Amino acid sequence: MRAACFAIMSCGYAPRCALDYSDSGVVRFTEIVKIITECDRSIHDISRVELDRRSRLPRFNMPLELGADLGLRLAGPSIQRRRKTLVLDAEADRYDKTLSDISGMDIEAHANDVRHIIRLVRDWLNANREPSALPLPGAVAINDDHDTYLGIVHDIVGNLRLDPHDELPHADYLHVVAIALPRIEAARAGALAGRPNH
Amino acid sequence: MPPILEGMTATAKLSGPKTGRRSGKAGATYRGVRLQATVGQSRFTFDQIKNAVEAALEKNAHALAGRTKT
Repeated sequence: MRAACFAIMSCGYAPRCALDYSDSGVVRFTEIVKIITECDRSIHDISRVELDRRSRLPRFNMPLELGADLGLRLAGPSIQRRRKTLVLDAEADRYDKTLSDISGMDIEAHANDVRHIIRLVRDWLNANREPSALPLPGAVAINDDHDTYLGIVHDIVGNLRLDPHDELPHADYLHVVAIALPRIEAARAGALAGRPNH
Repeated sequence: MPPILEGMTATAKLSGPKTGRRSGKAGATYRGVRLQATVGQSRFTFDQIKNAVEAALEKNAHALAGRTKT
């Protein structure tokens, strides 16, 4: 999730998800559908189908959200029928067993690999841009900057006296990445400029 | 390998939202791409995060120089 958000932001888009809000008085699914209708592109990762350790039951939230998105695309208002959707899973063709009604759709497999997730998200966003738009930053560059981010985030967290990074609230994470991206680029450019030629 | 998405809603909705509270500063660019304003409210001000990021980059400048390729 966080790697996907990093890639989305690196490509100039604003990731939205139910974690944007924390109003316990609103049903989360209502929030999610509202967010879907406000955006013209969606990414769904249906990879978390493993059984919950305690309940021994699978979680169905992600297929539910994908279904809402596809319903809008198939039978919603005309503006929603032009929406773009990327579906991710950990393994290729596993969805044939877990979600066979969508067999035939092109689903990308990320193998739970962060670098691959970033590449898939970046390539999909790049492929769905207006033809006249400039290409997005390359996946290798974004991955390098993500590595840099991971290398400094513990210091960022320490400087802000935040919780450990894995527990960083979603909103804080997005703000940190948004502010870090241009500065990571500038720091890398500075490092390249200062490197002696051999 | 630790789960990447466990416990999180795994849909990321993209593009510019029409509504919703925004914070952060728009207009910054990254590798030629104009970044959008961040949705949602942080507990920290822009300057607090900026200072924390810049201090972290400065502290790690040597390591960064060692692996810069792109």
